[in-house]
Amino acid sequence: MSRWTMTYFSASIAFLLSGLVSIGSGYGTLSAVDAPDNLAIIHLIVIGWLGLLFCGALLQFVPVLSATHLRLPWLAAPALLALCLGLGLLTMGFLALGGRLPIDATIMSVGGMLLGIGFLCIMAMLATTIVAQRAFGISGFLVLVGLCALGVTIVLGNMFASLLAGVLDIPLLATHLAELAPYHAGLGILGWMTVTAIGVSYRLFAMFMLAPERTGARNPIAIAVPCALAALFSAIGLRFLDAAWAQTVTIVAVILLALIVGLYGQDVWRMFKARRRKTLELNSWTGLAALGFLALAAMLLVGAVSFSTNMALATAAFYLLIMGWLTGLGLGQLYKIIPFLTWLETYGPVMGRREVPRVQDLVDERHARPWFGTFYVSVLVGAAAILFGSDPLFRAATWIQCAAVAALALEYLRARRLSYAPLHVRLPPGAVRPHTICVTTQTKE
Amino acid sequence: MQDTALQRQVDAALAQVLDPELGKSIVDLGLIYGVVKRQNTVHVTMTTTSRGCPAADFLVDAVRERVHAAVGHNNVEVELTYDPPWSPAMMRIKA
Repeated sequence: MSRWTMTYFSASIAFLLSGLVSIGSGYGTLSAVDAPDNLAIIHLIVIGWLGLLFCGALLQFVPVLSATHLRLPWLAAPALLALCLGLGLLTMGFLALGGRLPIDATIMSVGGMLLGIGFLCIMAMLATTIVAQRAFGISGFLVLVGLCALGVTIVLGNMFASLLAGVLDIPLLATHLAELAPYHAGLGILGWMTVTAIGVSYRLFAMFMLAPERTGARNPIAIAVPCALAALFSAIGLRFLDAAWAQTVTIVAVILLALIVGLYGQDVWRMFKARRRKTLELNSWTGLAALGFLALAAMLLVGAVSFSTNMALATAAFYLLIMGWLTGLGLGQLYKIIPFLTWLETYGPVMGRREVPRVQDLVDERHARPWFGTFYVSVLVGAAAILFGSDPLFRAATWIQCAAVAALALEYLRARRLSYAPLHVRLPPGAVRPHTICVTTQTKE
Repeated sequence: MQDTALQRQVDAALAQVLDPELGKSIVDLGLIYGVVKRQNTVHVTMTTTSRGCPAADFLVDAVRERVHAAVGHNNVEVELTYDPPWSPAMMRIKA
């Protein structure tokens, strides 16, 4: 059990809430997606919320996927510190660029470097853990491929930060900055996060639905994902040589992405049909709903890249990826991971000696279910607001999301504080109530 | 040496050990592969629902504890194996 996973999760939820409150309060606008205010909020949510969530979850999952202990575990705390500090400086840099903070925007490049260091630490821990096993299934393979995309995302991000801050002066790069920014976003959100989420969820869906695993190395996704990423990497290079070819290769990459989503959806459907657990828990249902948002986003993205010059379509597609797919999946899985980690910490050591509750006894789905529903509906409203260009509707949808996320965060806290555990087994002799934001006892690291 | 009476005794003792995630007895889930008594030691071979399960050490300790309580003075050895790997088809009950 990774000592810092809960701390990563706590920080990530704080970043998500701060991002949503900022949007609701009037920061950012739909009319200029690449405005500094928007970039500040987008990075706050994508790196602060999703990035930290993924890092924290992967520190826990990768040892399970690899059936070995986490390598270089001592890097987890410095990585978290570097990521939080780096994101703070990057956000301040964007605010300075937008004239909201009277400071030198060069701190952006320092922020970018710190983020790079933090992510490199994470990449080192995860990659060395996965490759320590000679054979790894599709889950481990996709996590590794995703790390490659993360590496390129970091390089591009650092170049952009240095350009915007005026630290780097490469006219050719500056000319193509606006064209390359979507690739930076695409590699981070699709190349790293989506590919990783697909890889990890193959195991999670099988575990939570009690379904046969579809994780064989011969899964066609194992070929389609590297091909899609190779196409994206090629398109980045072609942007400097031939814009028409770059566009064609980008369309190929996005069509491959849609194919991957189709293959993944088909596999999940087969697992769903073959499951032994007939009554699914809330986290499985929210995961399936998130998959629906991924399919919708993929369709919009194909339309945006292939047939449309309308930025709103691409923006709505990325919004659905970030909020509907990744955030929905993340919030849903936290609803299982947090009680599970809490159970391990609190009841694992006394299991077999004392009566203990089940993991599911640490939550009450009746409280959380309406908030997940509210969240998903508000994401659909937010996407519609982007398509119609309505800032007031977008802010209203964001406030509703904020309320849903706050309510779910309260449910996570209740699970962590054992509030729903039946009284007679809540704290049996020998069990220790867990700390809220960090793991106080360790089994293996 | 296989001992049906011992098997029943151990199954009864482990019926109270629940997989924390599934909330079902580890016996009903088919996680206990075998129970054998050699000389004065009871050997239990078991698995977990997935390789690398973070609760594996706790489950092994719980099995050792419960079996020891059930068979009294005998020594208890618990071996964790993934050969064969567990699959939902091994369950004795519906989840």
